[in-house]
Amino acid sequence: MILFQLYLSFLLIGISAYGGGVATISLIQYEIVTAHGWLTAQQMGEVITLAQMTPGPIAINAATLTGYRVAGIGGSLLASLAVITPGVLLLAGYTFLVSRLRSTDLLDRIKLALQPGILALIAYAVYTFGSIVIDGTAGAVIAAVVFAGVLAFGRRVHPVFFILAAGLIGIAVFRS
Amino acid sequence: MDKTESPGGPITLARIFAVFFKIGLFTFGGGFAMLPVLGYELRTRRKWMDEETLTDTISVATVFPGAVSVNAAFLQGLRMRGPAGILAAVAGIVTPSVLVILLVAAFLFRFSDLPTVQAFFKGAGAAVTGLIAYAVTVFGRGCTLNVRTIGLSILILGVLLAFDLHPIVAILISGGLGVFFFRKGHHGFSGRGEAP
Repeated sequence: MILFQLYLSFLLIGISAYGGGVATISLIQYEIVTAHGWLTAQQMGEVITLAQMTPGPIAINAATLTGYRVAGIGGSLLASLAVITPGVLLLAGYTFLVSRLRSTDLLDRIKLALQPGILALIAYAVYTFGSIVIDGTAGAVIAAVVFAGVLAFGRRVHPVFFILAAGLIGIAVFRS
Repeated sequence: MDKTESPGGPITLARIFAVFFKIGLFTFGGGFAMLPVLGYELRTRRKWMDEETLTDTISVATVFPGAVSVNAAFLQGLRMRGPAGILAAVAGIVTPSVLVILLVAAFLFRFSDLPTVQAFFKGAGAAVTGLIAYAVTVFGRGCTLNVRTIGLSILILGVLLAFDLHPIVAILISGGLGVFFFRKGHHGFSGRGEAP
């Protein structure tokens, strides 16, 4: 039963995951923490943070980790499969029925139509994710410094470097 | 089907799997790092696709839901070897992330109560928040920004913040109103706009 719910949940995340990983964060948080309570907010913070530091798409990483937490290896494989199912099925339908692999006017219009929603979702994720991992001035300062840092050096320094560095600073600052 | 043949003869399924496995393994942090790696491996290094095909692939991959890299693997797998190619490419790009995460998961939940680990995640999580804020600027730069799109973004963000709804409403509102707003004559689409 829980496997079925897990599958449905990640199917829903897979269907609504437009615009790449970061736009998906608040969806994942809502489904896993708010709607089902499979992970605590703090665990969710760790899952998303790890997903940003490990290879592969955030949605798949989050699916694998959450599935593992909820129902072991089977759960992790099922959740990962669920999250890629909608995209794969829709792509199969599109390439079979509409166009052989070419972008079309229709797709450009869908993309244009979805842009404001995706932009809002990414901005919303700053709030939803930030509010579970930041609980004081020190965290807010780290976030602001990293934001300024990637704006200035984002093309030359890999984002993972910023996460690791901030983690080490975190050990120095937050460990009581 | 427009097959892109390599100069060295036909490309085996194992080869497709291996190349996408490599792309999957080296794209830390999702789409942030994926697009340059995809371009380098498929266009520059292996000549499996030309510039136009790459742009088209990324463009189509971005419109469909799910991970952009998985969708891109689907399209290129199909282009090269049909349905079997899809399986090889998608399995290739997904496998490394599932394997690495399972390794991590086996340790993470055992040690996550340690004060040092918690302190690390507090700092690292704050950094990820900064990176998400950066993603707003990256995605925004790729968007067609005008009064309507910015206004609609702010409206949707306001709705999400005010009512604590399922975030999927952002996609529904945007898609619904977008069809209404962006009719013929508004194709200012820049071809980019992938979120990191």
